[in-house]
Amino acid sequence: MNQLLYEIVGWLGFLTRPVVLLQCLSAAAIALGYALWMRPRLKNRRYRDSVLAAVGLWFLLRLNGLVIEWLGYPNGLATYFSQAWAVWVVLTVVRLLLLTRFPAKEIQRLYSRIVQPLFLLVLSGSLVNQLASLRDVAEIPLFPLFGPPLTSGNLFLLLIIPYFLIAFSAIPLVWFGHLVQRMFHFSDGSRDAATLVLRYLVVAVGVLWLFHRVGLNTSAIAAIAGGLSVGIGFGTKEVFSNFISGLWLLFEGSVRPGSVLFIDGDPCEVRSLGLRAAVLWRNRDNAELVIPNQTFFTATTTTYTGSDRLRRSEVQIGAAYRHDPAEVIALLEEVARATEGVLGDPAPRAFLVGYGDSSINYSLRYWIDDPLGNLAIQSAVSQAVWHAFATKGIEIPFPQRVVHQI
Amino acid sequence: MAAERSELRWRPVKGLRLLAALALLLTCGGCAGGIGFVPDTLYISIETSTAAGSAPELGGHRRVSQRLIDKFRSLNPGVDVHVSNYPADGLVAATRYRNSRGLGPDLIVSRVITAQQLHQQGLSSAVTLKRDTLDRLHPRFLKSFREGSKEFAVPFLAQPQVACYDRRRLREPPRTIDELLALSAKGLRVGLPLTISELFWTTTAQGASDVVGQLLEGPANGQAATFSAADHQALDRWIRWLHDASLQQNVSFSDDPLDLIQQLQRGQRDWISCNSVWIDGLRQRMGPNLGVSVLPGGTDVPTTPISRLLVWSFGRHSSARQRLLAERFVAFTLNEVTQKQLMDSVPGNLPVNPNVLIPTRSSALMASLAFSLDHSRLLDFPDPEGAIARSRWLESVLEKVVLGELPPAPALAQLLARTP
Repeated sequence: MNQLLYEIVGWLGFLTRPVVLLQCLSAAAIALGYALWMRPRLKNRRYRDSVLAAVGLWFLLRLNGLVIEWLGYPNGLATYFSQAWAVWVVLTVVRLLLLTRFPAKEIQRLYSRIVQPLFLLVLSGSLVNQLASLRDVAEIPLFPLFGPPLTSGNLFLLLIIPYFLIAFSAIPLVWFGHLVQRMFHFSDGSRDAATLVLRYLVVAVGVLWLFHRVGLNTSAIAAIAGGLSVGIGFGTKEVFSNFISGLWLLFEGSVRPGSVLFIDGDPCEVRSLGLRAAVLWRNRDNAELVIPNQTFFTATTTTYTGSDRLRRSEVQIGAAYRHDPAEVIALLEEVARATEGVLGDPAPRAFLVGYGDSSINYSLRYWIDDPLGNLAIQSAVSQAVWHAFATKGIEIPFPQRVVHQI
Repeated sequence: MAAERSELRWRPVKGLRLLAALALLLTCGGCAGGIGFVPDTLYISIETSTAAGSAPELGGHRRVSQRLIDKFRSLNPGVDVHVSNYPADGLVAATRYRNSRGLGPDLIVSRVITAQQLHQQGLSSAVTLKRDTLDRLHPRFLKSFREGSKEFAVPFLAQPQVACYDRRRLREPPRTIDELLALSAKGLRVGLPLTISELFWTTTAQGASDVVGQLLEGPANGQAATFSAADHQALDRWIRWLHDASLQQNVSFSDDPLDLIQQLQRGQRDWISCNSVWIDGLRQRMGPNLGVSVLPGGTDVPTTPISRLLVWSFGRHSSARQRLLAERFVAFTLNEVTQKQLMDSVPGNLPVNPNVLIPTRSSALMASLAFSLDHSRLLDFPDPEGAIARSRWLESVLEKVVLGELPPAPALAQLLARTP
């Protein structure tokens, strides 16, 4: 570790060279001028103005490099600064263009998880390469790890590769999932399950490859893991239990991303099934519920999306005794059929369910294909029934009580 | 929609912050340099012998060079020395890249031809060492680097070409190349390099040293090379010898010196031609089983190998302080004590300071190295780029000959027909 610090501190020695100082200070002055003078003036301006200002900064940085070259001094570092800024500006402009075509959330996720970390990685790598031999820096030994010393390059790989494995594997696997779905006509749930399992596989294989690439002694790791397995087993029992439950549920198909479950009396949609817990969205109040996978594994689960996405719903209503029940039933079924969101097949059915104190009670039962839309459709059907009854002169009686005075 | 609008806002601020942070860091660093916070730093680039990085070659050399640096630092407290390693085919490009940024090394250790490339491409600066420092050096080594009144490089260490063999398989090394082939016919597994600088010694016995030297150095003053009938015959003999050697069951050629070294270590070869730079690593692995001798020559004619000379070149963009330290460092490496220590600690390195006595009487290894160096040829490369092209062309022809693709007669015709 000391050697790495020695190397990094040593890079400062370049600043004692006038030609290096000239390039750095001139670029720094331009960048600071932009940050302190131009940036405040761009507040609340259209983004086109900001783009133009950023391009202007690039132009100044490039011009700075050209002037230094014209003066007969090395200008590679000044050019490098302008190139790094140009790449950043291009990435930002591309982001703005993508936002006009794709959902903001997706683009934001793409940039925050992949593009910006990748840019930082390339920038830091290229910066080190400016200052020293990247290969030599990567070969600096740090500390022993299960055998030969871990080098700085390998430590870097150990930290970076898992992140990018997780971040990068998502997009191509989602595309792959859609392709396979198109070929074999999977359901959305099956596609998401297959994608997630494939992702776990890719990450696992990638981590194994990384261990091999870094040269970690896998036998030593296995021995230590074996020794610690009892302790780890007790300590992280719940984590593993949830992870295994999640995999099991995915294969079983009872809980998958896109499924609609009945949780505490409310229909909720499964948004994701993670390593530890599932995230569900509750329509009623737009809440997200994080429920450990194990819960679904051990408790009874009510789902509307097991074999299909149909849900049967019901509206109960009473009509006055003087109306012919057959007419009322026919009217109710007609009203349901005419309401948007109610499926024609299976056909809506109305039943006379009892003779109440004040009215004959009916139940109108119909099917919908959006389990989460039940409340809205139920409301629409109820309103349509009210209007139909009003049109036909069918009374919905108030509660009545006949009092005989003796 | 509101969220989307907010996403549409211009957000290069993070990048700007990075740039501003970098600027601040550099500005602070610059100020710090002025007040002496930044330590004196010396940057040294080293040319390695293979593309496989420094590790296979250096072995204990890394430890020795670190010890050398530590001693220099004890004499010059507060000086940091940073070393970067580059393969032979990458040093010039890497130096050009760094020089274009003002980040080039203060000192470069390389072979002669690389130093000449650096000099001709304006990537190194003239030597400004004091005359008494240069006077410590053997004039034989120094004359190749003189241009006008100044030198463009300073010799550092000599590494001659020798024979390395396994004592368990061979008691007495061959003295002539005929003996070598005779031994191979009896089962001695011989490994020969295909790089012309390391195969050059085979020309001696055939009397082809001069003509091959001419082919390598190229036509003088832009004149077309002319070869006498004797040259033709000598070249013909040499190519036929190589062809005959390639037909031997126990003789193999390799274009990678490291490959031969590893074959000897693994016991797959019994005798190889090797540069002395590899001796230290071979000794660590083979111990007393490693034998080192002079390369076989002709009958009564000692062989004339090409010795490798490591030289110092000075960088172009050093600060005045760095330049001073670089000169001090070079002078330090050329003094008698350091040269002797380098010779003792890394067998295979020979001093360029004639005041350092090589213990030829007490050490057979040193005797072989000194003999080889004394009889070696130092080639001049007025046109280093051309020399590299000619070497590659010559090696490609020789490779075809030893692989049976090209019979000796057309190979000879090709060599005489054109010189790149």
